[in-house]
Amino acid sequence: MNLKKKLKKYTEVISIAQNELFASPSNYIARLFIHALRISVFGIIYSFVFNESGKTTIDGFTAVNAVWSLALVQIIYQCSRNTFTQIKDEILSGQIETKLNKPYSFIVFSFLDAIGQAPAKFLGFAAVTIAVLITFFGVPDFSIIQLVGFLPLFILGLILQTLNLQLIALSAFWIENPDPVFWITSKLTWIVNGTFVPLAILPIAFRTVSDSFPLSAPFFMGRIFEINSISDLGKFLLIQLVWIMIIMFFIRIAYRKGITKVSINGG
Amino acid sequence: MEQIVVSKLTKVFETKIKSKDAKGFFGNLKTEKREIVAVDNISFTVNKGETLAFIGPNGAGKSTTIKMLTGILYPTSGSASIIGINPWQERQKLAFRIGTVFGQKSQLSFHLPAEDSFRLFARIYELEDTEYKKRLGELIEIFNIEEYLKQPLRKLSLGQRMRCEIVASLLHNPEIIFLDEPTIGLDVVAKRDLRDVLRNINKEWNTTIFLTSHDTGDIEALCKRTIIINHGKMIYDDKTLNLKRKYITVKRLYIRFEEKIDDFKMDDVTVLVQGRYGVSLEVNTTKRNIRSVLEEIIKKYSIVDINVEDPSLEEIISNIYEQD
Amino acid sequence: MRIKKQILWLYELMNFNLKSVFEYKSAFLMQVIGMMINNCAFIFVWYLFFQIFTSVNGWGFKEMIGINGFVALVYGIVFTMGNGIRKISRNVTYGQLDKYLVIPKNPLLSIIFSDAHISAIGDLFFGIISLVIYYAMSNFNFMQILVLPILIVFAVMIFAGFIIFAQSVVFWIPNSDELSDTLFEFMLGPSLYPNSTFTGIIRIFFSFFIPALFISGIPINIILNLDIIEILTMVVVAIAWLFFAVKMFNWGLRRYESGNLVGIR
Repeated sequence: MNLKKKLKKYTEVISIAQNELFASPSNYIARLFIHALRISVFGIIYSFVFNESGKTTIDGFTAVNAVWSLALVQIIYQCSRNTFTQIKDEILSGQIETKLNKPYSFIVFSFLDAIGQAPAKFLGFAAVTIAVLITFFGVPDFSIIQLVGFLPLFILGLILQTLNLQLIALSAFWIENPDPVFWITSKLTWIVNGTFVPLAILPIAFRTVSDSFPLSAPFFMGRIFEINSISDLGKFLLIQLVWIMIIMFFIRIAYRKGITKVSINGG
Repeated sequence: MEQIVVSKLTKVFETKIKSKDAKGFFGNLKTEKREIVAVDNISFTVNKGETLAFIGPNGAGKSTTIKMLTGILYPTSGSASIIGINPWQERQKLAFRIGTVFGQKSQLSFHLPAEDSFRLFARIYELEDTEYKKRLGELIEIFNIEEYLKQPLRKLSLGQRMRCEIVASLLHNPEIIFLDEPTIGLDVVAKRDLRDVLRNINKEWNTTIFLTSHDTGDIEALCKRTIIINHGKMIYDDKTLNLKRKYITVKRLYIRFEEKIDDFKMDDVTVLVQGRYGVSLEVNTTKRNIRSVLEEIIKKYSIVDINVEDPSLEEIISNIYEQD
Repeated sequence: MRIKKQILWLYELMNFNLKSVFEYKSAFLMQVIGMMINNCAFIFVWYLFFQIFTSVNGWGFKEMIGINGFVALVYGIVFTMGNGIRKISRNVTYGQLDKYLVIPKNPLLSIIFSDAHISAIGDLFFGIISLVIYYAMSNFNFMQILVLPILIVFAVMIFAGFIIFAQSVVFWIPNSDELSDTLFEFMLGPSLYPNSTFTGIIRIFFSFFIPALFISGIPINIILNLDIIEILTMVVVAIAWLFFAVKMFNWGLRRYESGNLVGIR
C-alpha cells in the first residue's frame, strides 16, 4: 500500500507535466512549425552539399539518409526539456532548499517532469517529421531491423539525454556558473551527433567518438542507417544502457554530495 | 498645492478565458473574451507633502492604479496628472520627478554592493557629481546604511536591502515617492525603523508619500490620509484617524472578578468568552454607551481588573472590505 | 548635452555589468577559452569537410574561416555588452519589464545593456583572429580592407535588429521565449554554412526574412567582389531591419501598457 502511495506522487508529476504542455497549445504548435521549417531548410542544405560533391552516395549513405538522420536527431532535442536550466536555476537561486525538505526525491521528480511530456511531444514531432520528409525528400528503404529499432533507441536516448542534462546541471553545486560547461559540451556534441554536418561526411574516427561519448549516445537514433543487423542494433542499445547506468550512478553521488553544500544567501 | 489629480480613472482589462466546456488538448484552444473592470471611475486629489495610504483587499485595483499613475499602464478612460504631467504620455519626463519602490521586485543588483547601484542610478537620473555625493551622504546618514554599503546586496538582510532600495529611489530628490508594500517580510523593529525614516523624509523634504500596504501599522504610523479601494471603486477617502472614529461601533471589555462568576448577563452586552473568574464582553456602542455598562458592572461585582479596547484598525478595515 | 548624459549613463551601465560578471572571476577565463575552443572545433570540421569537397561553388575552406570569423565577431560585439537583448522576452513574461519603465531612460536600451555576456569576448577575439588569418591568406587590396569595418557595422545592425524582432514576439504570443530563442538559432545556424549552399527561394528567405546570409556570406561576398549594388542592398536592409525591429518593440510595449497581455497583470 505504501508503495502505491509513493508511486502515485511520481505519476502525478508526469500528468502535471503533460497538462503543462497542453496548457499552452499555441506554443506547442509554433514549435512544431519551427521544427518543420528547420528540417526542411537543413534538409535542403544537406542535399545540396551531397550534390556538390558529385557523388550520390558516400559510403552507401545518400542525401535522403542524411536528411532523415538529421531530422531524427532533432526529434530527440525537441522531446527533451530545458532540464539543465531548470535544475541549474533552482540550485543557484536556492529554490532547491524548498524542495529538499519534502518527502520526495527532487532528482527523481525532475527526471519524471522532463520525461512526462515526451510521449505527447514525440507523437507531434514524429508526425510532422514524417510528413515533411516524405513530401520533400522521399523515404529511404528502411529495413525491418531499422523500423524495430526506432522506438527503443528513442526511449533509451531520451532517458540518457535527460540524465546527461541533470548531471551537468548538478555541477551548479560546485561551479558558480555551469553555463559554459553546458554550451561547450552541447556544441561539441553537435559535431559528433550529426547536427552540424552529416556524420557520414566525417572521418570514421568521429563515429568511434560518437560511440564512446555519453553525450552523443542519446542520438543513436540518427545513426539508424548504420544498423543492418540485430547485433548492430544491440550494440547501440547496449551502449546507451551502459551509459544510463553510469550516469545514474554519478548523479546519485553528485546529488548526495551536492545537497550538503547548499549555501544560503542573505539572512 | 495639488500635485496628483485623478479624474474618473477607469481601467478595463480584456482577457481571454478558456471556455468552460473545453476538454482535452484542442479544448484549450477555445477561448472566450471577458472584460474585467479593475479600476472603476475613481477620482481624487493629493496635495504636495501629503502622506497617503492607498489600500484595499487583494485584487481591488491598487496595483493597477499605481501602475497608471507611474505610467506603466494606460487607462481605458479618465485622466491623471502628476505634477502637471500625464504619466502614460510623458513617462520618462515624469520618471525624473518621482521615485518608486516595489516591495517584491528589486531594482538593485543582487550581486554588487548597493553603492555601485547608487552610482548607476545617479547616471540614470542625470545627477551632477557634487549634487549626487551630497544627497547620498544625507541619505546614508538618515537611513544609517554606512556599515553595509560596500557589501554585495545578496549578503544583506531583507530590512537592510529595503533601506537601500528606498535610498536608491530618493537619490534624485523626487517630489513624490510611490511605495508598493515596502515593509512586506520585515520584522517588527525593521518596520518601525523604516516608518520613522519615511516620516522624517516627509517632514524634512516635504516629499509626498503614496503608499500601498496590507500592514495597518504602516498606515497608522505613516499616513494621515487613507483611501480604500475595493472592486475597483473608492469606498473611503478621509483622514486615517477618522477611519476609527467613523467605523468603530463596538468596544471590548476584559474583566476579572474577585469571585467566581457563572452566568454573566447584561442588557445590550454580548458575552464573547465566559470564564470562571473573568469575561470578555463586546458592547455595541450605538445601542448602549460604555459608561453605563461600566457603572453597572462596578455596582454589581467586585472587580480585580478591567481592560477596555477598541477593535484594531485591521479589524475595522477588514469589516469595511467585507461589508462592501 | 543630453547625448553626453546618455553616453555617461550607458558607460556606467556597462561598467556596472562588467563588475557583476567579475564577481565570479573563476568562471570568466574558463568561459572565454571554452568559447574559442568551441569555435575552433567548427573550423576543424569545415577543414575536414573541404578535404572531401574541394569547393562548394567557388567557396572553399578559406572562405569558411572568413565567414565563421565574421559571424563570431558580430556575435561578440552584440552580446559582450548587450546580452540583455536576448532577455527581452523573458523579462516580459516574468514581469520584470516594469523596472525598466519607471526610470527616465529608453526602455529598449535599458534592457539591452542590462546584462553582459563576458564569454562572448572569446567569440570577439576568435572573430578578429579568424578575419586576420582570412585576410592574410587572401591577399586583399586596400578597398577590400577598408570595407570590412563598414560591413561589420551594418551586420551588427541586422543581427541586433533581428533579435529584437524575435524577442518582441512575446508581446503577441505569450510565453514564447523558447520560440524567440529558436528564431535566433534559425538565423545563426544557416549563417555558418557556405554562402553558395543557398539558392533560389531558400536564398531569398535567408536573406530577407531571416537575414542569416546578410551577417555572413553576403558581407564576405562583398569583400571578394566589391559589388556596389550588393553594398547598397546591405545598407538598406540594415536600416530597414533595425527600424522595423525597434518599431515592433515599441508597438509591443504599447500593448504591454494596455495591460491586456495574457498572463501579465
